[in-house]
Amino acid sequence: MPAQQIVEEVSVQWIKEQLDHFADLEERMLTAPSGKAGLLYIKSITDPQIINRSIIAPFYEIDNTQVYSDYLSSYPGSEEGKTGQHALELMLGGYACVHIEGKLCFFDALKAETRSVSENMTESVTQGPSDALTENLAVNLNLIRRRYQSTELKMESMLIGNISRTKVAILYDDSRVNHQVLDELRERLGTLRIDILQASGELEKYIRSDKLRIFPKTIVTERPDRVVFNLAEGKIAVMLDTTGYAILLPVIFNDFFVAMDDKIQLPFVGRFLKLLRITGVAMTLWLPALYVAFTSYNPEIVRVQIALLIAGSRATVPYPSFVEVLIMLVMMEFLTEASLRLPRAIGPTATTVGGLILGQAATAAGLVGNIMIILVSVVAISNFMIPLNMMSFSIRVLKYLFIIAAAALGLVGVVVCLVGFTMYLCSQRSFGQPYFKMFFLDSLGNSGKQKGGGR
Amino acid sequence: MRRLLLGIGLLLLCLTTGCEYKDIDRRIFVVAIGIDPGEKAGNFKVSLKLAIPQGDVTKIDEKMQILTEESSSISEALRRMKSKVEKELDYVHCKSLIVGEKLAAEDIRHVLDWAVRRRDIQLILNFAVGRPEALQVIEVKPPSERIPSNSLIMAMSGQGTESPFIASVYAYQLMRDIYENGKNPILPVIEAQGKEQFLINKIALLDKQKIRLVLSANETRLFNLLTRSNLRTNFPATVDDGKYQYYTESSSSSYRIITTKEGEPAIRYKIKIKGILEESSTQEIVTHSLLRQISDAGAEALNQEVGALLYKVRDSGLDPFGWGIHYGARHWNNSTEMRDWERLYPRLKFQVEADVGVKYSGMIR
Repeated sequence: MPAQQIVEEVSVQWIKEQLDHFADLEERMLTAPSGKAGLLYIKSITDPQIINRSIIAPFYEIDNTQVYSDYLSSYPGSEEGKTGQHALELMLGGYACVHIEGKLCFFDALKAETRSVSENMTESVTQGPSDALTENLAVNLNLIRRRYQSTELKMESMLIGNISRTKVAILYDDSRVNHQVLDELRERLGTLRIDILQASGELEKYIRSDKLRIFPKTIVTERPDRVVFNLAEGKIAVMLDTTGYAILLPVIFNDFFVAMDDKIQLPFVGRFLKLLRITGVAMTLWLPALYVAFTSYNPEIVRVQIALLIAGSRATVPYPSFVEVLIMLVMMEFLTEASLRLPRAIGPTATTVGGLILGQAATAAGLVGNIMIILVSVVAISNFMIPLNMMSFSIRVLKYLFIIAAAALGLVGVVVCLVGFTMYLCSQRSFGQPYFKMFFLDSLGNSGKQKGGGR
Repeated sequence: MRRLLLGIGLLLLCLTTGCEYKDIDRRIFVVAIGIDPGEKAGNFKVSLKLAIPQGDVTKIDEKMQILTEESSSISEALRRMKSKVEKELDYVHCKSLIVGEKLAAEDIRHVLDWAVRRRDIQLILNFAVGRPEALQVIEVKPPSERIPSNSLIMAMSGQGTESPFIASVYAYQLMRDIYENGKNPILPVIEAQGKEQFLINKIALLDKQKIRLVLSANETRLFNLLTRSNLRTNFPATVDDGKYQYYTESSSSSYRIITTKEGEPAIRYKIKIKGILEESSTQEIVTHSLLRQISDAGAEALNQEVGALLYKVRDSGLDPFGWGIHYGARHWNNSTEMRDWERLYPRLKFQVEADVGVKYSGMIR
């Protein structure tokens, strides 16, 4: 057995030296009539129950140390430390080291402190499953495997991060995935050299191809059903231990506007909801810019009644229209950002102060027009109609670009900006796949069962 | 440090605006223009109706301002008026241009040319003749109005009232009618009745230049019946002693230029009306046969009235219906067709075939 040769280099003593100043290092000697065994583990990340039941109790029940040693090494999850480095990794990964008859055996006793599967927070739906991915990779895999019972669902695993040693799982449907994309992902993950990896978004940032970009190229989701849905479309899911989110790639622009209840709703309702969402994006993106263009460059486009109304509401406003828009929008951003970070109990205060007092008082004082308040609230509300947060943030930032264009060139500026925006989207690639691929072109080609994704 | 300065500079640059930037509260909207002949011969008296926006929408009260300036040209008058207000005059929302009757009796082409040439005045500007003066029409301020000049805009564009007596004429239509062979322009006539009311129920027929004939209200309605479809109005019918009025639910008219058996040119008008009985002077029960009688009587009355109108128009030598262009479009001899038409025109005969169907008695009894 190879284990016996290793004992020479990896000894309990050596491990103990390496783990010097570990206050939570626990060493125990087990003595029974049949023999002796040494037990070494880091208390804080091991489960005392496992240690008790699977290591200590059998030792006293089994008379023969040889049989006990066999029992340990055949137990699922136990490993033999091949090199000193490996042994240390195992120890830090929650393994208990059992030293018996000069042989080292590492026994998996990891205690993963996680919360149980809970309701999802960021992508809630009205009907449909509401369980969210957790911080535990094993639980997440359970959630997905249960939904995707196919032999084609492959999983690859690797460790990333020199210190954090984060377990990364790559999931894909072998029959549907685009292997080019898969190879590219493997290569990018393989060449990654970082110390700490803690969040899915972080990983997304590291595996991106372009440094400067506005739109997210991967979906970060916490919904297992979205992961499964996208796996079936031929996408790849990357999941991290210790984070409750999965990364999906490659994605197209349209994927960000799919909510999981679209599938649940009746066809017409689903379409309507999607239309609503796209209108919402258009509104939040262009409404402030169009307001600037209409009030300061092209008042002839709106009807005379509205023009007079806007002129009336702006009569007391002391600064140009786009400064008014910028001030109100920034104020709104403060409000959203603040209510996001505030503790639950103070949250409503922020809304009251912001919404009621700020909005009401600003118009009453004549600092902003009445119509501006309506506009800002429409922008704020419609921005949250985008089901995926990442895209919602991108759109939030982008609208300022349109406002500046409108302030510089009026309606022409908005149109130029729109054309540029479309061209930019068309030039984008997500892992080599066209980003702005039109969704309806796919469903025209095949019957729509396998749309999107790589093929 | 240099980077920081560059960043601040860029940020400040973002706060600058483009060239044509002018906020809506720095503009004052001209909603109607009135042009009258000036006191000196050849001068124009230009009046502008300015809409003053209201800050508080809840207690809205129409506020307007009227500027008047006399000058030898319209542009000059407008430039001078700029000095009378503190904000920039903006013509983009000008929806009506009223030409004084005296000016329209001389020449409207100058005014039209100006209105079409100016790029900030929209071509969907409504043209009308103001009686007795354009200024008086502009000054009318109906109590129902909440936005200055809104009533004029609503009435003339047909967005509001669907009066059968109003014909709306846009600047581009007037332009076409004036420069097109075989058609003569028309203009609605707006009469100011005091300070609070106006009346639009007449049409002025123009030759290529000035007013030649003004139709009465009744004739105007018939004119609209012939030029528009689905005119909402009522027409009378008399059966024995009973006087009836029927409402036109749908109407359509078409004409053909034909040559009669005697070789004379004629125009055959076909008018189709579907109606509902609206008023009856008798206590008789309306039966199906009575409805048919009413329809026939109505058609007969319509035939005569429309015939009279058509002959009146022909005798004036004008062609507001565009028969000439219709004729030209259907006769394939470009060099002579319009001359032929001018020869034929005075000899035109009219055949009017009205088909009135009053379908419903208006009530169930």
